[in-house]
Amino acid sequence: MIVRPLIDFLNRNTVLQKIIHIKPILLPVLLGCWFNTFAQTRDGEIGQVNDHRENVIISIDEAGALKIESRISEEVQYFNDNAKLFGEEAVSYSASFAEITDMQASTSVPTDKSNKYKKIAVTDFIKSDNRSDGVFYDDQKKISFIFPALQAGAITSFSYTKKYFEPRLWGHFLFSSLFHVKNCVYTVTAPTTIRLKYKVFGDDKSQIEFRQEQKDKNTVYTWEAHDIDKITLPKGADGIWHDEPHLIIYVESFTFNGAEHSVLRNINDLYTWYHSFTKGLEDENKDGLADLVASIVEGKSTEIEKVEAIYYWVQQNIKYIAIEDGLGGFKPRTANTVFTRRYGDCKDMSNLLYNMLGMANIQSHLTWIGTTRIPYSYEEVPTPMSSNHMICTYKNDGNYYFLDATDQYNKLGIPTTHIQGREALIDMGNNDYEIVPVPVVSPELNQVIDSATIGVVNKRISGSGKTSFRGYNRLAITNNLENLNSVAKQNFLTALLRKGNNKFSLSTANTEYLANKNHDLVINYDFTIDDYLIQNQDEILLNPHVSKDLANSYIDTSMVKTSIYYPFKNISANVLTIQIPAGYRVSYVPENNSYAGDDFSYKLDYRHVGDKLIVEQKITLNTLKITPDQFDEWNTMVKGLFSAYRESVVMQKKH
Amino acid sequence: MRHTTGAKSLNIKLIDEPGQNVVFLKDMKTIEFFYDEEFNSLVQYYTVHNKIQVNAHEAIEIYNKHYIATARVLGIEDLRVRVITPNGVKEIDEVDLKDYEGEDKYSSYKYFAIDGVEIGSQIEFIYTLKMVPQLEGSRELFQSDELKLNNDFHIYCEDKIHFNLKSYNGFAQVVLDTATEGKNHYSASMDRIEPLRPEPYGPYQNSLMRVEYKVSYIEPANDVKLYTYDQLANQLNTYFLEEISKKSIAKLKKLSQELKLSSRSEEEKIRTIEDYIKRNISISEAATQDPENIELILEKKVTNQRGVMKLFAWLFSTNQVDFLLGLTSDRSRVKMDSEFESYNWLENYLFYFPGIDKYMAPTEMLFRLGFIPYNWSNNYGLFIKSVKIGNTSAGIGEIRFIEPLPYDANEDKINVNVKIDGDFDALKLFINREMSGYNISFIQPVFDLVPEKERKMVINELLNISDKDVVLDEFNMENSSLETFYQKPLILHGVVTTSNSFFDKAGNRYLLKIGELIGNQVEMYQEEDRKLPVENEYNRNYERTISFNIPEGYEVRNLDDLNMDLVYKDKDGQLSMGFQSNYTMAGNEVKVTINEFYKSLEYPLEQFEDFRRVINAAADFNKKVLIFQKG
Repeated sequence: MIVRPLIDFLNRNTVLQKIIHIKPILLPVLLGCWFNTFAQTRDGEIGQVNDHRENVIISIDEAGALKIESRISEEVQYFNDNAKLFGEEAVSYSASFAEITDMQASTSVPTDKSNKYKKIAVTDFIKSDNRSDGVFYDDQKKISFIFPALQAGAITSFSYTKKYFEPRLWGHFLFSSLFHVKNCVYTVTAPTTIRLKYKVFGDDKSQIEFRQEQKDKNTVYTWEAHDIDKITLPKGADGIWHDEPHLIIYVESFTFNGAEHSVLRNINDLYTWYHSFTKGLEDENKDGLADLVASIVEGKSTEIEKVEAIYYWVQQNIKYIAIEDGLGGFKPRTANTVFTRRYGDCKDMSNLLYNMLGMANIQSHLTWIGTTRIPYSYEEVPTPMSSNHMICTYKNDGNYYFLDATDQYNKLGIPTTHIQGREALIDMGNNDYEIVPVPVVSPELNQVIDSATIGVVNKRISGSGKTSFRGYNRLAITNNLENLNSVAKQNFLTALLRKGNNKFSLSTANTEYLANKNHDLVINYDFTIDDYLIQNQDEILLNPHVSKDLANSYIDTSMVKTSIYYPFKNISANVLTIQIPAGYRVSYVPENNSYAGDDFSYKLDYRHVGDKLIVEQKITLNTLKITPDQFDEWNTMVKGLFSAYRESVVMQKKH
Repeated sequence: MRHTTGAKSLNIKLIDEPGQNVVFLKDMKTIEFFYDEEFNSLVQYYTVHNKIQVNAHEAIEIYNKHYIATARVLGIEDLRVRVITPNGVKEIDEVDLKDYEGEDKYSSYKYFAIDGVEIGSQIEFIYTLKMVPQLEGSRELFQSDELKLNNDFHIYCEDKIHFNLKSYNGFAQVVLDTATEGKNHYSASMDRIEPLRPEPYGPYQNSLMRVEYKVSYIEPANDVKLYTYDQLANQLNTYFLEEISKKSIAKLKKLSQELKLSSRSEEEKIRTIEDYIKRNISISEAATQDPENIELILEKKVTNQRGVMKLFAWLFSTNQVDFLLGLTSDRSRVKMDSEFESYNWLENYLFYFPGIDKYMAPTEMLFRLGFIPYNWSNNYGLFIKSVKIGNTSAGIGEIRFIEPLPYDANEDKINVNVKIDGDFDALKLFINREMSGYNISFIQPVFDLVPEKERKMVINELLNISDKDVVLDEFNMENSSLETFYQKPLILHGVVTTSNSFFDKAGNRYLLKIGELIGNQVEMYQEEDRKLPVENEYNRNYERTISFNIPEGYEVRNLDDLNMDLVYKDKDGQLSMGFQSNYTMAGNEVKVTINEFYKSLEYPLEQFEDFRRVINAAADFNKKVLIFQKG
């Protein structure tokens, strides 16, 4: 994946860095509540960012090349002695695209005299490698140091200069931080011959003031903000780019010696730059690969069948290993290299697919795309900030098939989860491209249906069931079933199919269609549940809601302030058929219950048919995001569901 | 660049071991010691030869990369990699070795990916590293959670070098072969080692088959034992108590005055010193500038582990606190063997204070005097006493067993009074919880970090209401700050109202889910073939009481369901673990008393089923429901 711009983005924000550098011993403690230790309230606060600024100077050198240099500084004030936990600091960057110099850091410690501080400078800066998560090899480096004497009242400050070697990879600034930000300033000083484009993103942009001034031959652009609330992240880091206020800025073009030089004026410029990395990736000898392709498509009559066979082969046989070395982060390795190695990253797999399809005389297209963590369209931001991933697109009769081999279990015709709803920048050849929206998969295509029939023997429930998993819901399950050892697999299946309470015990479980991606995954199983039903003299009380989906999903609006994101739309249905024991009759059945909203709904039905009571429960999530203005509606639904889950059925002994 | 040669024709035999995603077909570790002219010292060639068959996708993803820690590595002498598939052998002529340079040598490594691996492939590599030897104590681990065939361990050295070696957990005994002129050859091998997988409450790491070894002596100095505890005791004594600058002593005296140490008792002195250091001084191994200079430590408030030990030792001796400096292992990884002398056990610093018979973990921020990390207790340790001899001092070492704390040091008491409003319109819960000892080691120190309004999540968790639909009407907490850390129990009071949780409906009956009031209990319902004995983290005691009034007009007929009694005795006839629950009724008021306790850290494999029953008894109680019906 071409994740570099986002990595730099994260690296720039030093307080964000700290969540990564927290001492491991504290992790188990903090996992649950860490993010929430930085809420909007001021009481009990650990610290605040007094001042965070970045001054960028852009110039054109004698040779007509753009030079971008930035001075970054941050001052943080600490309010209590827990400051000590924040002593370790690091700045990371990509050695191929940037250089860090002139780093200075110090702590100012309060003294006995009021308003007097003693400054202790940092003397040791350690440079080391900084491999990103999930990447096998890259050129990320970091410079680490320790702020001395952190304590209540201490003020830390540090600053450094960052030079950008590739102007296309410059240009983002996050105004908020995991601490409250008192003052925050971003300036860009550039000659009037340089044309810049910029836009502020995020839920609340009202606090950010912009001004533009002319100083001699330069234009100074300034964004300034005060008292920015800190980031609360109860739901993971992905929301940052969607919710938090940040600036995206880039160079459109510049004039040198009377001629205009384009950088990133529009999507075409971005495409042209990307395309320069994928041109001329021909192998000298790929006979082995050609033989393989021939054997894969042998006997397949339609083009779709051939595409499917090749796609599935790559998914199955090429392992994901990311290597991002300089511009290698953008340039795929040749098809034959990846075929021989049997591993590669997204661009390597895409290029292999493209070549293999070509060998089968099938036209396909290399495609750049941003995953769901990126909020911008190509039109809004025609820069590398809009992409972090590569796939291969195949077009048939006006239908687009987005082939992403990084997910081994995804089926043909369905995009991978993390590109749903995003734009694909498709290389159509002949220096032409298309922008095509990737569809969001409908909830019906991801449904899970569990049907079980239970009976009562003594005080034990025993039953048999069948669950079918469709679409995205089958992916993780397939992965586990294929890879877990037998003990772990049994535990996994027990947890997956659990009903009633933790005395649910699985006696048998058989899987069907595990290897057939085009079919629902089906698990047939038998089970018992002890200590669940209640025998009360001559009646049996049974809570038929043996799977309480969403029961714990109440949103605490005092803590959660930003949208909640889901990886895919979903339907979860449970049908429980209760065999009424001989000699008993049903004396109480709760009322049917439902909630119908556009984005989420549920339906709970009870049906009495002969000697059976059928309880149907269906929950639909028809959105990828629940926004704060929907929280009350969501909570109304969850409360209704929670209340309905409390109702038991009563079966009375016949007299 | 890497190249692969064409596949050679070979009759490949794949090993068929059903149910194994990975089979190690070979695991050989060979260490050869020799005198190196260039380094002017004894160095070692360390050779690893592995052959691994991968039978699943995930297994490929794990084993198609290999990492070599480079902390003591002087050079890579040889590295060969090949992949054997059903179609032939692919030799990788040139391995593309990547370098990761960490912040220090301990976080640096070299690594490579292995090309061309498919399901059913065998990955084979052999490499030899030239290394600084770890003569003072070293370890080779052979067992893992994968099946391993053909396991070999070898040491080769000159015949004048003699090692002490010991095999653990059933690994083959190491034998010495002197048949080769001028050579000593120690070796052990096992054709097959079954996989051992982690089990709850089992000492997994410490149960794996392994070899510990250490140099004993080098001829002709047969009587001069090398790397003994006595030598170390003296070295550490000198290191931590060697003369420091006058300025540093002045600073220590000034600090002692500020902390008013002279007027305090011995225990108070220790607590005050510990609290001051743990609150003010950061420990980081990346602290490089003269990190053990006490004057600088007190100014910059950053040092490394040795620096903080030195600061402690000097503050103690300046203030006449009698102490022993100790070292031990973490028994969740490996337990110190008091019979086998090796520096390899000595990985954590601690102090023992004979005057008050208490231990302290100086480098651990989450622990305080009397409470060292529990995995350091129930373990041996080396303890060093500094003895004055004329003008100098010497360190004398002794092995001590670090007793675990008794069960009543780690208590958790919950008291819930349930008030039923109206005709089950709502429940009001008056919850009190009191926790002590290790139960609070992960709450008290962090609570200070959490801003007032954000404590909700932690509080909900502690009141056992986190997944419930409830309103917290009142809440307060006592002894939540670091001042009382481990010295006083953490006390919580909460009043909770709910019309939706802890009780269900069935027609006109109400079902009080009384079992949920004690919080989710761990279960071990699934029966598996148990291999490991039980070794708990710490002894503990749980007491819970629940009381409620039966509303007018209702009756509860299944109160007897609450009676449970399961206790076990140790071989001396003393109660060692149990779960007991019973109730009393006075008028309309019902009071339920529940007690669960574990007084022993270890239960042998034969007693595992009993242990499981006690654990499950608590989980069974979770399911208790009382039926309120109109009489």
